[in-house]
Amino acid sequence: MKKILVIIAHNLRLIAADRSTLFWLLAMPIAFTFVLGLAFSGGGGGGGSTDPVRYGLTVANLDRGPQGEALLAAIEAAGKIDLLPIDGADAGDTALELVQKGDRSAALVIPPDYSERLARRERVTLTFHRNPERMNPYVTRQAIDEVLTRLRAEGTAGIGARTAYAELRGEPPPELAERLSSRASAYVAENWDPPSVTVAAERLGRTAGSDVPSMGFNHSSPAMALMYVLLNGLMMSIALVDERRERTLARLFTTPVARSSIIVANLGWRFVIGMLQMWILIAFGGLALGVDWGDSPVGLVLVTVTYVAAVAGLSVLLGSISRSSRQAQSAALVLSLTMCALGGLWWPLEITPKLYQAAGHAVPTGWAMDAMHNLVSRGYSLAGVAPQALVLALFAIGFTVAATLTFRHE
Amino acid sequence: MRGEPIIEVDGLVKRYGQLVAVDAVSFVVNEGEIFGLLGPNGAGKTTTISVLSCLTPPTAGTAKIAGLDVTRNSLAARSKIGVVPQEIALYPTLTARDNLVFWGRMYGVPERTLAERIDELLSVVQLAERAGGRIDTFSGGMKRRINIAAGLIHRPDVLFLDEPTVGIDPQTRRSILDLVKDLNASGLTVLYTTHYLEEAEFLCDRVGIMDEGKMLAIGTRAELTTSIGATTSIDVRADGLDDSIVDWLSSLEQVTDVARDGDDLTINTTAEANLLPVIVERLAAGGAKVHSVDVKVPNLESVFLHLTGKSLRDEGDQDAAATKTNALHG
Repeated sequence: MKKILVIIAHNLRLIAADRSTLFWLLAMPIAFTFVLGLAFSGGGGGGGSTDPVRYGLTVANLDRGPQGEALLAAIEAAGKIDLLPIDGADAGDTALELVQKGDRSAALVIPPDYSERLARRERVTLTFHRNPERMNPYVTRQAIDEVLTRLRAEGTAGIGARTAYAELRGEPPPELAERLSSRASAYVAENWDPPSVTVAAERLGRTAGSDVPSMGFNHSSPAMALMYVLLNGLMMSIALVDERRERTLARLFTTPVARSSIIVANLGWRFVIGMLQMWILIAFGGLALGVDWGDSPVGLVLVTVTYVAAVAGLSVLLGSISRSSRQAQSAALVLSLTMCALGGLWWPLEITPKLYQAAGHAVPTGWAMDAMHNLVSRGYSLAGVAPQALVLALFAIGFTVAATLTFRHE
Repeated sequence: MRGEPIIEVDGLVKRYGQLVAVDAVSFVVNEGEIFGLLGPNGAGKTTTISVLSCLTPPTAGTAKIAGLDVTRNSLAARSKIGVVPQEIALYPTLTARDNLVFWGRMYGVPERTLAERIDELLSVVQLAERAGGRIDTFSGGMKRRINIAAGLIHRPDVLFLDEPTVGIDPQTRRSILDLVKDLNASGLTVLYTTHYLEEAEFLCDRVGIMDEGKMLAIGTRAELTTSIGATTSIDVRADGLDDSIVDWLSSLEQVTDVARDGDDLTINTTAEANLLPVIVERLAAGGAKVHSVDVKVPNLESVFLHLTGKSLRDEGDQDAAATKTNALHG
């Protein structure tokens, strides 16, 4: 055990002596966390730019009266949505077709009798088409609901004012009734404020698996931590190739140190560096970017431990089977970038097609990112990330066994 | 032979697929010896050392270090040996001292004695002043010496030196050979591989000649040359030679062959040095005037040529060998 620790400390010292280490271990991931976080900010949670992001919404206004236009004006004025109107008698069908083909993420269709039914104070149904594989519809639907709620409050206020006057002084003349109604509606419009009463939702279990996770730094911070731990971990496979080339590994095999100890030490120092990097980036995300890493620190530890162990195993495996430093470097780049893209580190897997999501779960990054979203965006408990941690542990065991079988000194 | 057997190799075979790198090699090295494995590149010397160093398992046969089987008691056997590979197996970005500290810890040298041991070794390899220098700032010769020091850090019973002088200048080569001699004089057993005849002749008490994976012969230089019937050749050029001198030389027991061609006389003898004064005295007494005498003593090259039908120099770098001769005798 003592010799394992000596080899681990020795390699940490060699790594620390390399001036480029801090740049690749910390500076680059922090920079990319910022860039990616800002790029995705505004999509929900996790801080980011204060400028609201606007989403496009296709609209087909078939209403024959003024209320349809009023509704669209109110939606646009809310500041979250850019309207993309479609004109013509068949605008409703066109809107549906555009969404079905995937050319538009969502469309709102206002029926021809919208104003008439409102005037008759009848229930009206607006049609909202959405593409289930896109994220924008969630935001646009929410914005429409907010506007409708406000409009409904304005209308209700007008009715309330007339009703109150009638109860106190008798039925008002039409002109006064109209003034009372518009005055009350205007008051609501001018003083509209988010509800002062909110419901605190306590998250007790899984939400639906198709939930789109938070974006912004809540995505970029864990994603970049996972990405750079993987990238640097696989790049460290080169150290094993170099040790073989410089014959120091062969010399180590002539000392009274067991082969298994040498392998454990090689896994160990890569694990230590990976964990250090991971937790520095997690701390940075929490302290500097305001990322809430969830309610389960044990779950977070479990996920990071199993993920970094998988990366360490893959790093030693790659170093064992590579014939040259150049080969190891190329393989590390290709593998890590492929796994980042597949695993949803650059964009959430939830917005990708089903086949892509399945492919993403063939690599450790997909499971690790799932677990991170469950912790950060969905607030899962330890039990909520245990399946992902188990799969990551299986990846770690598989890579380690393969690394042990292929480990060689020449 | 000096002490008890410390390396025992019996019927050692190492195959890589169809290639037989070491073919039923057997030899014994005794305590306090410098034993040389001499042969061209690809002869199986390094593979033999790899098996003895526990780097690669034998396909068949046994190898023991201090009575410990290298396969079954690998860890214990490794603690008995120091290995100096042909390459500079050191960490280039670490200092000489830090390299020795690391290798000392790998051999389990107690911390309380490690610093003292390192100082001592740095003195032995004459690099005490450069203890804090990074290896990648050292010359080739300095790296070689630290490479050797790393193999000595735990005071092994046996030191394996695998072609430690390949690719270095004559002066450094000479200093390394002197160092090996000094280490051996202090009681260290050395197993030394080389494809340089002169090194084997200069250093080794006994030599094992290898070629194409086989051990062809083992012995001291004298034993090896005698075993192939090699004789010392004395070439004399003198005025006034006649057939009586040929008859006289032919009658001597130690002379195996005499040939005269005008003023040139060639004498082959099993005696090396003691016959020469007698011949010169007889020639002078007979009235001959001697102009030159050239004595050609049989060497390992003759043995290798006899055993394999090819010259060892043809297999290696002749220029390097010539340079090395100067280093050894200059």
